Amino acid sequence: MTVQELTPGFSDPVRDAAVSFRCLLNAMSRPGLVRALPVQPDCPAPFNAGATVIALSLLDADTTVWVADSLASPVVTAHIAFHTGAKPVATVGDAAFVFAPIAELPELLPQLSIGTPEYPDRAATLIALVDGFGGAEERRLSGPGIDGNTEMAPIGLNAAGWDVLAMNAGLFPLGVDTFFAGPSSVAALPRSTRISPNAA
Amino acid sequence: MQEEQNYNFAYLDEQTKRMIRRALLKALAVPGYQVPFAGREMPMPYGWGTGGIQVTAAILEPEDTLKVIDQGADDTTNAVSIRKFFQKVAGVETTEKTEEASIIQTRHRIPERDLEEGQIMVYQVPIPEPLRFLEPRETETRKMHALEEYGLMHVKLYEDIARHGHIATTYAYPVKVADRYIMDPSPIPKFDNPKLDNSPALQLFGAGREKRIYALPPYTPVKSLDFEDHPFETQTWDEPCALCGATDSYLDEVIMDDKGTRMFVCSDTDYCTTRREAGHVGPDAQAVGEAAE
Repeated sequence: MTVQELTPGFSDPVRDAAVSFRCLLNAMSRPGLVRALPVQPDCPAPFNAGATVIALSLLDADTTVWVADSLASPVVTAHIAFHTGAKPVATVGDAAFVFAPIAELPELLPQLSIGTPEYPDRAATLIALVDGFGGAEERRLSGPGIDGNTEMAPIGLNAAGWDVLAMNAGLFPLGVDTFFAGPSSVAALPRSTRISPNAA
Repeated sequence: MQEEQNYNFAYLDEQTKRMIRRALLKALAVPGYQVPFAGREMPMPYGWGTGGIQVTAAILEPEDTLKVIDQGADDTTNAVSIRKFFQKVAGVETTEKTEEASIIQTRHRIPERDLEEGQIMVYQVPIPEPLRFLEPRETETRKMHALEEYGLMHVKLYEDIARHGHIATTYAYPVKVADRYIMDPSPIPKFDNPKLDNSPALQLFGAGREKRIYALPPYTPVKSLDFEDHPFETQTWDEPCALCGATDSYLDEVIMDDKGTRMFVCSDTDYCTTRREAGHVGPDAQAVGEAAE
């Protein structure tokens, strides 16, 4: 790895982090609503822009991170180490932030930290990389942050994945919070959101 | 006002902002639960809104328009100094108009005008733990929240009824969020409690001294605690606002002289001013105008 191979971070770190976080805050406060990314940073392959923006705006030396083998290219590892300083952990259950492709969600999510009854905030945040939204498996969402109900269908999230997420929601107030990170947009699915079969 | 170049944008360093931002995301995922955060010392004393200021600093972006109110007023010391602080360290636009603001930092009131989707309320919170005056130990209150053991709070409200004949709590009236956590809505009058429920705005709470952050996502059910035979009620007044004639707003009592003369006026100064500009006149508007001349 040479300096030339390292992908740059935010071009305007303070401002880009501020607008990126507002996008993530808006996403988490309105589950299922797809938010366009306000910035398009250079991405270390195979990270997409959504994953890159989340890593750059939320990770630092105070956080632990685990990246799925299928994503952990030298350039991604170097990117996270250089720009954020987040501590990589070997066991996924120890990580505060977990990056994985959507296909690995069904197997991975049950292994993640769900917090403790006294400290439910110590649960992991899963960042699932998707190609976008408007996939085949749609589910109806309701709960805090949703006016009535709404539909969501991240591309690549299969029925098994939805089942695992519904089980996770059943653990509330414990449970994992998920960001679906796309190439130009993000959406969130906190543990507080109830998932039911689409009426259609 | 020109942004002060010697400070990072919005005063806090980036690592502190990230720490607060992570806490905010977890607070949103578990509505009403108090997330501990590493609150920093701010260039003003505890009790002046250091929690709210840290939350505002962490969410602020350069395009924001900030409104700050203290007891409903834009022109009181606390509101003016916080507004000037962010003008200086973030260079953001400020406003006194509720409808123009993207972020409203508040001490003890929610504006009368309906909030809109996309707006963010930031509450300054002195004591975030609703059970604190019933149980002083943090280890115990934490366990009570974990077990959803809230009987003590109902006993407290019941004792109010036994002693006074009604629930005498008038501010910081406890609420239950999304049928799970009991939450202190900060010392807003209970008049404002119904505005918390199913609000289209995002509501964030910061307690600087106690180092806690909690949140209400938009469209979250928020229920004020009560009993079937003693339902929750808000304050009412027999008279309208003396200046603008409003009958639907929270009124402050103002002492006019040393002979006991008093008047009731809107606590939300923007609401009162907007109404008067639109031609609404209260019963005492004339007298106050003459007294000022």
